[in-house]
Amino acid sequence: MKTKTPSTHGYQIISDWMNSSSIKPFPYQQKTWELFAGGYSGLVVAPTGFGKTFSVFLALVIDYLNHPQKYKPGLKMLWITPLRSLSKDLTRAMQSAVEEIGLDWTVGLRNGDLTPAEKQRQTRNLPEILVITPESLHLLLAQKAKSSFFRNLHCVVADEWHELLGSKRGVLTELAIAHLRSIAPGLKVWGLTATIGNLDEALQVLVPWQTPKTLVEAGMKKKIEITPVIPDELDVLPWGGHMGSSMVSKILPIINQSKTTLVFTNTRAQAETWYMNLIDADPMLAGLIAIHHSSIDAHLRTWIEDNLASGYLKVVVSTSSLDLGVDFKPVDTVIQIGSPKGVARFLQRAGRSGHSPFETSRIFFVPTHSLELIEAAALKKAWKEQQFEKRIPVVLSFDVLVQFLVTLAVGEGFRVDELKEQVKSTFAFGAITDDEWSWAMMFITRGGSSLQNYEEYHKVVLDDDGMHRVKSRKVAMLHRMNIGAIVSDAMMRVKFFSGGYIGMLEEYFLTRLQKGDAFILAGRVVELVAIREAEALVRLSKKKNARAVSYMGGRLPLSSQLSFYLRQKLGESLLADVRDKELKFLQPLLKDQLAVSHIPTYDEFLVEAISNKYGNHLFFYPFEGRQVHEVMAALFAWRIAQLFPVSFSMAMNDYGFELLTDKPLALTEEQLLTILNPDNLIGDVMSSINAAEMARRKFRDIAVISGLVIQNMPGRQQKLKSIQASSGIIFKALDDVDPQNLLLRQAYAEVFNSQIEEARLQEAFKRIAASRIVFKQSTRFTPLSFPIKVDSLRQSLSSEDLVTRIERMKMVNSATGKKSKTQ
Amino acid sequence: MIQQLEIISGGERLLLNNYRSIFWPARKMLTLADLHAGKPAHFRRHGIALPQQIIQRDLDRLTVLIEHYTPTQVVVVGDMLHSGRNSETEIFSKWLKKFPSLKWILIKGNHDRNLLELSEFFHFDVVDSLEVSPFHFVHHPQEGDLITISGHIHPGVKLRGANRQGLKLPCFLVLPKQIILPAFSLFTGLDTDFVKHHPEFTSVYVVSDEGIFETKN
Repeated sequence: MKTKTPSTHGYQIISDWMNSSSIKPFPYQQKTWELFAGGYSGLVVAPTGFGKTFSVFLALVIDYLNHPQKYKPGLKMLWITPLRSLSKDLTRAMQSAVEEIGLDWTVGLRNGDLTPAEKQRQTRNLPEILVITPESLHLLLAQKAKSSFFRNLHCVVADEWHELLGSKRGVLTELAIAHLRSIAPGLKVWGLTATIGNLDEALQVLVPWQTPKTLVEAGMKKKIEITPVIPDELDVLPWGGHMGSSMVSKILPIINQSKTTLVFTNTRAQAETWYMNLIDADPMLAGLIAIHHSSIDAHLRTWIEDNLASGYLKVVVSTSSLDLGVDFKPVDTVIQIGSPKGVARFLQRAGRSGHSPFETSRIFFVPTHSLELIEAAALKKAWKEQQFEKRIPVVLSFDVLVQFLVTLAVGEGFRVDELKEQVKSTFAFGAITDDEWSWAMMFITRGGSSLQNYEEYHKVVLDDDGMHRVKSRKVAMLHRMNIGAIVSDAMMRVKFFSGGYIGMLEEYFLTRLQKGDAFILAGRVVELVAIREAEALVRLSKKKNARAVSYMGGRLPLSSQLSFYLRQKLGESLLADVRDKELKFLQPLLKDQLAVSHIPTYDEFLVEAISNKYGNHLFFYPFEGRQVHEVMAALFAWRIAQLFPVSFSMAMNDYGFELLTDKPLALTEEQLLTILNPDNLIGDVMSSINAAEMARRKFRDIAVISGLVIQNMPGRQQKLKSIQASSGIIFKALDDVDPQNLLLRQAYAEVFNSQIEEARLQEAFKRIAASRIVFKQSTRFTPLSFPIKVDSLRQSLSSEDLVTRIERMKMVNSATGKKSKTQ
Repeated sequence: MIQQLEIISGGERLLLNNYRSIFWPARKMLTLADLHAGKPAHFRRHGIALPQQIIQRDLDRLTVLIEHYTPTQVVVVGDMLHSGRNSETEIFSKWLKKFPSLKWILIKGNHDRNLLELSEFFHFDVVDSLEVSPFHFVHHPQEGDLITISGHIHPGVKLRGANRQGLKLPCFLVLPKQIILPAFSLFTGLDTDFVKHHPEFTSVYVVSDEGIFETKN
């Protein structure tokens, strides 16, 4: 770099402006400005609240002030953000900065909330800086005058890149950037991210081509105070869920001593329960407490967010719906209920309190069963060692590719050879083969494999000028309405019979209810009166047996990072010099586990065979998360059935799983070793699970993204409904007649990558093979096995029955326990 | 392989089979519902890429049925075509030529438009309903003096399997005065709520590749 940025004219202006607002630039911001001026692309890594926005945004302003001649009129910077909620504040902040600095620029905002008229006005005269979602950007790419929009573009910014990276929306972003580079060569691309476990890869995905590029790390660590909430009494036999009401009395003082508290739960049902528990325990909170999750009516959610920001609300109970988004300055305390399942999520939530750089974030961890306290110790260690989860980039998602091809064909059209190079230049499609590319082209032009040519299929047509275009206005309209990679469940609005919306719930949940069935939503018990059109009408109810809203996606698996520290902490838990207060508190439980069975150290693998009046159980403890355990359980059950005829029922949690049979089960240690063997792992997995069924479920999103199933239809055109088929039917048909279909192959690949988690499974088996196997026999449940056993009961029992039954089991357990001691 | 199950309805012997049709031996009559021929082509016209083999699967199954039972007449109780004529209904009409002596009767369904044209094109008898005592063939399920045989619903049931994996399968619904057929085409959806909301259908015959099984509703 010839001129150091600090000595330039542009830098002086910005520096003066910052001084006047008494802000001092962070060193990493200055570094970004220099690198930007030197022609670099890159990825800025800094915690929330440390001014990431001003790193890249001001870099552009400085460069413009220094070299105005380089900049032509029109759009200069695209600011891609995954969050609609953030974009408004962001736009406002940049606009007022621009005005204070004295530039005549506009900063615009484009997302799904804009009316068509506003959008048109904007495209006629694009602002200098445009804040946009990946979906809205693709909609711009679907416009006829697209190239003229982006000709003078200097820089694309991918905000919250860690959020986009591991998703198909990240692929949308990659494809858009590759295409923008073809319109505006020399385009710089910058990403902003929180710390994740694979930063180098994150940069490579964002900027895959040859150009000067670098990571800019703020090197600053947010101060975080992690406090476990320790119950008054220790249940030596822990089980999930029942600690709710007793823990409420523990968290009320925390709430009272704080200005504003965010309470995070993992599911909507859990949020509803805690909201009600808190109000019951302290009626004074009424009016000052609110509940926020994805099913709450959007207007109400906005009201809650506004009143959280203003400091009016004292407590908000929420799910991941408040993980991200605008900062709520009054929030000084965060409470996490139950396992956060990952290090990054926990810290992200912690960071919602005390958000400015020099404040301390305070988070309290409330276990839902006593064993979870080990996670508190594990989380602290992970934080200390700065170990975060990776975000695995999505590759070769052909559903997104075919959508993108049609998007461009809806707009100006494209030339095959040029576009192929663009697509191949992305990280996501760097490994695409010629055959796969041809298949994608065939799919959009002829409707299938090369052997077919359908006269009625004219989605994308090759024009005389060599451009591929969509000709049908209806196809173009349907495509535009369905651009994007977020597939949601069919939702129904829930409305009071007397008027007024409460929220939205999944259609599959509501349609299963009978008239008069009660459920809980937004902290109120309501009962179903009728379902009309796409609305469920309800009235307030006094019924006691209200159902919690079931939510299929609510079970996030434990991350490998957290699992690693959890195993480590558990293994060390009985060492004489253990200092964690969580582990000290758990000593009676841990000692009981040791007395009846064993506590596995990090290089041991524990298997328990427990025979009692409830049946013959095998418990395995890989600590690899529920999802991996599901696969392992099916696999082990299958492998044991190869040794002798037996069938099992299975249950699992994040720590381990249970195989249960009523037949006598005498497994030798040698047999156990063959079951744990990593040889022929995937072959056996394929024999033990129904991969087709899993793929069928994955295919749903793929069918929607690729346009095989149409999610959004224009309101009045009822006729179009006859072109709707469920993804399940299409999947079965393709599985029968077109097994080479790439979208079908992708469904199976997604099963292996994200459902079976093949890589993690292989790792786990390698680890187990290298571990010392500890095989213990017992006649009573151990502290480790008990929560799994309870989970398996939960699936078939009502909650009242469950409580009685568990208490009975505990009694039986302690009776046999005593007996074995006296023997 | 065709698997069948015999029931007696109105004193007549009927063979329900896992190819989703009913054969009435006394009249040598094959009955099926909701063929929805041309549905994939209709989708393709709207830009949804589906392969042609989908209709071929249905025609192959129909061939197997006709060669197995050698009926003299086929009654389709509605929704033979999904959306008028298209390239796949051409395939269908070509296929029909394989069985020139077979008599076809189509009961009008809500999807069967342009019926005059259809009857001329396919040489079908197209009627609103058909009475062959003791049966009354209609598209929409209804009750009457005769035993009605209908389609339209695409009935299915959800079975709970081990490991919480549910399985949805099509089914026949049978009452003393009513029989509802499953949709013949494999490229159709299932209505599993109908059975749930109509507990009066106590006899449910579930079909799958493996066979046809009676279950209780």
